[in-house]
Amino acid sequence: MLDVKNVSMSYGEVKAVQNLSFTIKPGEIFGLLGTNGAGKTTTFRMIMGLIQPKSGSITLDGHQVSYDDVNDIGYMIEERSLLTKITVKDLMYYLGQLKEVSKEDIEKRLDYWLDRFHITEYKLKKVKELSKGNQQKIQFIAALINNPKLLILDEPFSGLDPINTELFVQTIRDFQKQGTMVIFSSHQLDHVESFCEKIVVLEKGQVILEGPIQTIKETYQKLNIRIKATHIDMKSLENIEGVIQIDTYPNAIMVKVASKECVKDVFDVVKTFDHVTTFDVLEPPLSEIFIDKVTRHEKA
Amino acid sequence: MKKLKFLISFGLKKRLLKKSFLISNIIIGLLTIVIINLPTIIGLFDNDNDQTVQIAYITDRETSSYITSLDVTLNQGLDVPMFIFTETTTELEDTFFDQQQYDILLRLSAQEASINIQLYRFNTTYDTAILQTLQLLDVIDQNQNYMPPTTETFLPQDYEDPVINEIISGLSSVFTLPLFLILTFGIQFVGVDIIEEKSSKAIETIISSVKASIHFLSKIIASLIFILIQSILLVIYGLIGSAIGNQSTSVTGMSTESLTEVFVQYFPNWQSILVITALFILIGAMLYLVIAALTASIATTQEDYQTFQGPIMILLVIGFYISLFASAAGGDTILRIASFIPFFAPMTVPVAYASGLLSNIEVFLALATLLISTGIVIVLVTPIYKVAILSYEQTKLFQRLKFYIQKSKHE
Repeated sequence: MLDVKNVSMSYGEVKAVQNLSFTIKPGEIFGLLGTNGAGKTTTFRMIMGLIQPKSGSITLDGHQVSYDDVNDIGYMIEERSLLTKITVKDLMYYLGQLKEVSKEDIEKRLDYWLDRFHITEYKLKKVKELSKGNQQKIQFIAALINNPKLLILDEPFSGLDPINTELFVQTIRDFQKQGTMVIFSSHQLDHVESFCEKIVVLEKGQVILEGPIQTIKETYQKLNIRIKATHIDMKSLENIEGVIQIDTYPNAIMVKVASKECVKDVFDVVKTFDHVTTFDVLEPPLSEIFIDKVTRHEKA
Repeated sequence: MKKLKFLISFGLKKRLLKKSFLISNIIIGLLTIVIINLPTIIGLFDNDNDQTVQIAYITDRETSSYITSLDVTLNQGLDVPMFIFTETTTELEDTFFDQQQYDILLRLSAQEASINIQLYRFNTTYDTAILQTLQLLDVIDQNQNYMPPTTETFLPQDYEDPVINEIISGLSSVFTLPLFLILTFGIQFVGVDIIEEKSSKAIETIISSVKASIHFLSKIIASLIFILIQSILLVIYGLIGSAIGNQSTSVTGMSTESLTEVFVQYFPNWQSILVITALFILIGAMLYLVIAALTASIATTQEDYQTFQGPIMILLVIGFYISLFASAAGGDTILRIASFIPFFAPMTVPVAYASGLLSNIEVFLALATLLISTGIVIVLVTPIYKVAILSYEQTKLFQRLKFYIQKSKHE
């Protein structure tokens, strides 16, 4: 289990991370979110023992995390981070041996992953000869080559097409089933929503949102109502107290309301419209909550 | 320790198994062989037959026959006589070094049991030829009860041995150039290696597996081993050059000497010169490598690194030129002062010591200065490297450096 407790890190006057706490159990996927410069990379580096927090503690399976744990951690950074002038095989030998994986195991695992990602033919090619998508796969394999206990994935799907994204998703799910702890960071919040049970949102080093996604959504209160009808009287909807925003789409409209209590008022108006085919009350997507919280924090 | 070893071997393999290493060593090898045999090569193209040596002579009745025999012996086998003999008077003895008509003044006078040879000349080039021939003629002439001739030789008051001057100048080729090349290779090795990992962001993945300090140390050690290998190769090229020189001497029969032979002949303390050179190159290289590693860690792109390494290369080039020209241009003070400046010492001390400019104590002091400076630089640079290697600031060099120094105090 990874336990991050009241961790803070600062560089002089700059507070990179303040009082961050979360726990990840084996087989859990945890979302660490935030805008650029929010403190995610500093948090990753503290978890890997690269830098020591100013206060608080980080423990992995009960002991203080240190550099000795790096062999059990897989890390995939947001940007391409590969030595491009050497072959895929040499690169994996290099990165794998740095994690103290034997050459035999690297060879076996590399063959397995290359086959699984359908890029076996690139094993002896130089990394720079590969497409961006395939380089992303190599980078992903590099993070998995040591069969990590803790896998840190920073924007793993960037630059991938939907088919390859699905390959990555399945792989992450497999690791989850094996009991690997996964820290997942992405700006594509639909992925976060589909993967993670719990999240922390950082903004300028401060925690502005945390907890299980379901609880966050329930606490958020605002709801979206999707309405499909042949004639919609926008004026009457706008006049309802608690309606925050109305967005028009080709076949429907989306009414954002401040709380559950407003839903009945909206329904009462909508049932007066002709041929109403849809009236869906939807939980707000994570992206909406994220934007709302970050914007409010910036204003504050 | 396991990771350190692995990183060192990986770095070395990456550098040594490259085509560029092979090609550069072929070129360096050939150049070394040529430089070592430069005197032989010059000798092969030097056509001394066109030169004449004007010899003025003064004899008495008993010794006049020696000049005739000397003329015949020295010019034997030559289509056109090289040694031109002209009789003169004793007045020339007083004015010889002020005139330019004659190269040599030879005065032979008979004594009771032997002859006296007085030899006036501007340099010692023909001493052996003239004196040995005269001795031989004297042996033949006296036949029995032989008494060796007495000899007096005279040189201009401001005479400087051209061979010693050549040797000191030659040291620049034998020492300074290889040292400069080795240091440049080392700086390139460590700098390019680090910036390649940093600019490709591969460093993020690497540092997530190995401590920054271990990474730093591995780069320095790998570069030092590389420098050691390159130095050994240079010595091998030198030995091959010497062997080729000896071989060509025995084949052509020309009495030319390779630089190695001349070096050993004129520097009886060559063993201590080599030890001191090795020490200074090793510690000096470490100083330069640490700074090159820091520079590469501060840079974010290859272009950045090329710009930032400029000052290091300038320091290296200044040291190179001081050791190359200071001694030859009479700038002994500059060479001496530069030997106590850590950035110049690796190149200037071997030359200054070999030419006798520095005493053993001074060399020891210069070594201590270099060693202490290198230690201080390592202690100061390591924490900055740890911070800089994972940072991608885009500000100007000194601003960036200042930022990393401050950041290193907080991590």
